[in-house]
Amino acid sequence: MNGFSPATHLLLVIATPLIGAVVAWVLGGRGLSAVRQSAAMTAVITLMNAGWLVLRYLQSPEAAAGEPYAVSSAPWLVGGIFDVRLSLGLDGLSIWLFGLSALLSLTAVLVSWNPIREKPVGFYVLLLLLEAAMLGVFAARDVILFYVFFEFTLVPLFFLIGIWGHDERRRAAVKFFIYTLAGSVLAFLGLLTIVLWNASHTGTVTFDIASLTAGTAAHPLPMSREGGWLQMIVFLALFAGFAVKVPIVPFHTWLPLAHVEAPTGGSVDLAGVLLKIGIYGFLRFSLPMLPDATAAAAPWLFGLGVVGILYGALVALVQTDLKRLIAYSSVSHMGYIVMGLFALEPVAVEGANLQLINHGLSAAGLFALVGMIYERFHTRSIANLGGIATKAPWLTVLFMLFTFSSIGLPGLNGFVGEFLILAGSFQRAWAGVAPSLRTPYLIMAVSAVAGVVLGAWYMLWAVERVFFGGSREPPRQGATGHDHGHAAHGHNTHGQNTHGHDTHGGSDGRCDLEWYEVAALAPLAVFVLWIGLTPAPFLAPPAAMLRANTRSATTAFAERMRTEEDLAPSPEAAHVVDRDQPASRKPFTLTSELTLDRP
Amino acid sequence: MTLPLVILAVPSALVGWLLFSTNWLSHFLSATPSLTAPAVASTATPHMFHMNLAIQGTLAAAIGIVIAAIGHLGRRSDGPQMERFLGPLQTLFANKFYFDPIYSALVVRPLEGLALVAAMFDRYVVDGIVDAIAGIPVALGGIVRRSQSGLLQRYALAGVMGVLAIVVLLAWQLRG
Repeated sequence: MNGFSPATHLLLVIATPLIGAVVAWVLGGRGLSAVRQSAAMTAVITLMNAGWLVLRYLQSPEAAAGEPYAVSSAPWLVGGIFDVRLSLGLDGLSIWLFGLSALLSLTAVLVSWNPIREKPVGFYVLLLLLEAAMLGVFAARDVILFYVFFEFTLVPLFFLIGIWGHDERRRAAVKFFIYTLAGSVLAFLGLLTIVLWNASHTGTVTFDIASLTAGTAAHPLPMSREGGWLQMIVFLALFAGFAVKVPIVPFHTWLPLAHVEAPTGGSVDLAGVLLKIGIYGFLRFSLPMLPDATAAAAPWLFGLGVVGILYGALVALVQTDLKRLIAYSSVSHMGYIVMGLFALEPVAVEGANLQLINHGLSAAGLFALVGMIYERFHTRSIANLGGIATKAPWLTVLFMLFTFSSIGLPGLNGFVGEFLILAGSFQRAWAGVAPSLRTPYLIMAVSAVAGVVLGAWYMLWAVERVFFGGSREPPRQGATGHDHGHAAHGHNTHGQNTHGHDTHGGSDGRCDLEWYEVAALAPLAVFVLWIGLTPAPFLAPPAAMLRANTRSATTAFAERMRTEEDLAPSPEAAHVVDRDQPASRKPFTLTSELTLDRP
Repeated sequence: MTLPLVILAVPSALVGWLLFSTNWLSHFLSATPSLTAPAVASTATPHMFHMNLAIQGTLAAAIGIVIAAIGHLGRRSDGPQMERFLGPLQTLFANKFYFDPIYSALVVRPLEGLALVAAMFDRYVVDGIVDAIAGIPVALGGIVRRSQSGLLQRYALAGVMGVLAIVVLLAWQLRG
């Protein structure tokens, strides 16, 4: 099947969910079964297709050479000064996120199998549209398509949260939508500024990301008083958009609300993929195109990452709602990724990139499992849950697996990412910053390690309360029953999912996983173990692109650090400057061959 | 139960001498790729076996064994005997050096308090700011909305005043 061009393959993968959405809509009249089965079929076909494309990429010569793959480019506005094309393609940076989107969409569909019974057509159509949008974001090679798909992810989620969510869904949907939209509009302004700057220096208006990267490298935006600090302003504009998405504390307050009120399938996609789009934006745009501003802001953003870790962990500690606890743990884990990214150290950046996938897997798994618990017991309140291990052992096993992955237990995927991030951060703190910054950096790095302990604390505490110990049943739902820790959902307002069909809870209280739940979680569990035990194949594809995209920012940072040392070249500076030169002391990266730093 | 212990006791006694006199373990471990290898290698004696440390450790263990032997041997190791032997230390040992309460007071409770403060801060301050910012357009809209009164007289008045303003402006521009 080698005649099947990769570009067509990519277009097919993105188009399949769209076609599937139409099919699901058409089959709407045939009832719930038909709709959800067709949605599941679409998700499976898309996943297999996407998986095949990923495999083809990994074996392709372009991947080895670090070139983009499956590129298709349609002229949109060509002529005169304009060279605007709409292009799609994959490269090392987007390949894993692309695959993750397809995988998590299947999880989202399967996890919604049972609970979504009201207006299923709308739900599955929106879910499939969301999948197409997520795939498109990572496949976009030009700013227009990136932005279009970026916004396109918001619309289905708005409706998914607003219609099929829980009690505060309206407020959550509106807050999520407007907050994210406001940020991304500012980001778009920043991107347009880059496009216009590039146009004024190269003579053509192009939105192609590769051209813009090269253009801003050749003609960097001014980072000086005469230039009006344009690079920093644009960086802040992009920061506004991406920081809200990531989310970087203190722009995170939409996340707990949106995650808690979203239906389980929405939460899976939200936590699993959409948060990663923010970091992807930093990697694709801010770091390569605005290296000096990135270097200037790096210490602050490094600090913000650490603040996010600790803040998210501390607030998670006192949560009584299990889903809210996991939402705050997401904030905390994204803090690690931000920290690793803005350490601007190759090891840390590779770790942060891998951690995107890791967090996608573990957070999606945790939210899916919380949704399953909610389906069975109709409560997410930790106080009202207990002893689930006896009633649903396999659910417990999987929850513990994803918990350990999220904590960073060695052997599972979370450890690899966390370790690389921390190692790189310590490298940066110890040898890569000006002496005046060393203490703050070390304090921050050590605090991040403390964050690991906090992470274990709240997760294990929650697991112990919810799964082990005495069996606690929430008060029976009935005409008079009401849930203590969770606002009553007895009033079935229009469109809210009902729990009338309680297929769980046999007479002996056992309510373990159904086939579709196992199918939803099994692939995630497989990857959790796979990445944890053999991370090298997952670290290798993005490595070249990561190095390329972070190179200018890293050198700019090194320059800043050197000039802060009073222009006197010191041993630290020598190390930092030589980081990109393979001839001298090689930095410790897992993807280069293991070099032992022996004297 | 005693037989396995006896069997294991022999290598237990010998393993330290075996591994460290031949440096086998340290050679094996030093082959691990390490981020701190350059720092360790640059110290004066990277592979030294620190004898005084070993002696101190062994001495502490031996003293403990001797004390326990004095306490246990020759008497039945029953509760009241041990209590009298330990004397005032009894309560200290029984409460595990009060380590748990100290830990709880020094680390756990403060962190839980901090977490509560953080949660309050998040809910009221950070989220409060976000909601306040979200309220600005609503407030502005409320103010501007007052012009939509539905009273035709007000609209007519606004129209006339607008025309007047334009005329005045034009006249002033043309004069100058």
